[in-house]
Amino acid sequence: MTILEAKEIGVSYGSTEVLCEVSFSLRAGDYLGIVGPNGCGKSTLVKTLLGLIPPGSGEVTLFGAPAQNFQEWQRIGFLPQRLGTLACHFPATVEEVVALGLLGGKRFPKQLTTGDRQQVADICERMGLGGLGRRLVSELSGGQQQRVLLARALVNGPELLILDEPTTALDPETRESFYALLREINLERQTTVVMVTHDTWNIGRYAARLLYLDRRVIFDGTFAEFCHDPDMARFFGEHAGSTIYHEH
Amino acid sequence: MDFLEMLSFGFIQRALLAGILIGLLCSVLGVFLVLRRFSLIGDGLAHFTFGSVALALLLGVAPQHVTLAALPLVLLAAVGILWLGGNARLAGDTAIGIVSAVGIAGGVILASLAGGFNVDLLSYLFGNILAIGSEELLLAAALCAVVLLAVALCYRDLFAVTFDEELARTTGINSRTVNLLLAILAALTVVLAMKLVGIMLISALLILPPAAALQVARSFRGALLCSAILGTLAVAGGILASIVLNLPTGGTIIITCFGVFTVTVVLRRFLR
Repeated sequence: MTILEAKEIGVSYGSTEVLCEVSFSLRAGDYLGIVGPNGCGKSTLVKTLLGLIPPGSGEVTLFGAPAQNFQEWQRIGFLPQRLGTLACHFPATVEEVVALGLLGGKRFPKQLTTGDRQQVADICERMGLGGLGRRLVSELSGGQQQRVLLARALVNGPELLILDEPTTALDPETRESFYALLREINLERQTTVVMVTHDTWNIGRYAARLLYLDRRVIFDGTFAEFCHDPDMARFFGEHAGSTIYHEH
Repeated sequence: MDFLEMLSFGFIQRALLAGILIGLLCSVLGVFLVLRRFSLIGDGLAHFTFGSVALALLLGVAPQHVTLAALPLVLLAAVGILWLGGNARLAGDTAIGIVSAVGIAGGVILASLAGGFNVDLLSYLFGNILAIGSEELLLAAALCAVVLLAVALCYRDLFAVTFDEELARTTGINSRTVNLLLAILAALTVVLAMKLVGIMLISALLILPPAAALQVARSFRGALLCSAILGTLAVAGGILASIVLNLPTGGTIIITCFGVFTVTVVLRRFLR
């Protein structure tokens, strides 16, 4: 079953072309890592996939429906980069933030049921946030905040999980456990995962498929193919190794 | 005249009741506006209200109907601020600044056409809650009920958009509609609050109680509740203090709110 399909997407900001003819598709259970240099259009691609930015050309379909008209948001979980609101003492508890992830499946006036609260408690427990439900999110560490946002993205049991540079603010140990957790979710629940990251080495170890973006798709295949692809070596030149493993 | 005898007067009872309702409204709505960094919309809409009131007075609208007469134009101004922000490539504060300036400038011109500033117009600038009539009290109660009901019914969407607009959109929330709702509720609140503290001080009533609540709140729901309690207490206290001390009501209310804010800032330091 095709979960997500991008057909020749083009996005421009004014006269600057940010994405050009980007095409790929994902099936249930896929784990795709999207990597590329700064300013290559990774975050723009994520926003376009989620329908937050309308593509100038091409089309995105989510579960068979055009992204712009997509309604079944409970099937998608999104984990953004660190949120500015968390840095400025926003008065929300862990439970309140995680429960926001349930709104996609709610109808007006969007009341939470006892079952919903249990779902929130369960996912908090699973994410190692047990006992922190009443704590203010802004008072937690960077790693804990990221787990709260992941719990928010997962609380609805989504079929597609999209993550935009989720490990940037994490220390190496927390980053490792974060990747392990994602792989578990991918394997256990067959959740399709799309992760945008700078961390080529780590995502290469965990994702089944790698997409290298630099405004257009430069490479689409496995990490092993990526490392041994003569075209990629030509693309990166003599510093291919350090470029691919630049974080390590 | 002792304190209890003072409370038996109808005009003081009306002022207290209206003040508590409007204070509650400003305190609750202000939490969303402050956290969205949208708090100056109160100032911009208040300044536009000045122009709307001047127009109503120029057209000969009776003083007890001025609040209602000013409402449609202020609602349009709220929509205008959002439209400018979304379509004219302007930041929110610039859009607010434009609407604010047009409101004040229009008000000054209209007041001049009417033969200069009169007592009525000045009472709207600085507030005169003690002069509130039964009809205006009913209007305040009705609008207060409408705004609080809207906040209660749309609480989750308002919270989600306040937390993060983009994240809210990925759960299917139409953030444009929520922003429009927030602007309309702000317009209704500002028009009501004009009678309480005056056009010049409305934004303070939208900012100070939420700012105080944010010092001590331990959850979003708690921030709303705390702001509502602190705001209504400060307004009621301010009205009573102004009567006892024979001070201007609007200014006394705001200074009382500031006093409450200061206490919470100190309290926060001790709670840490």
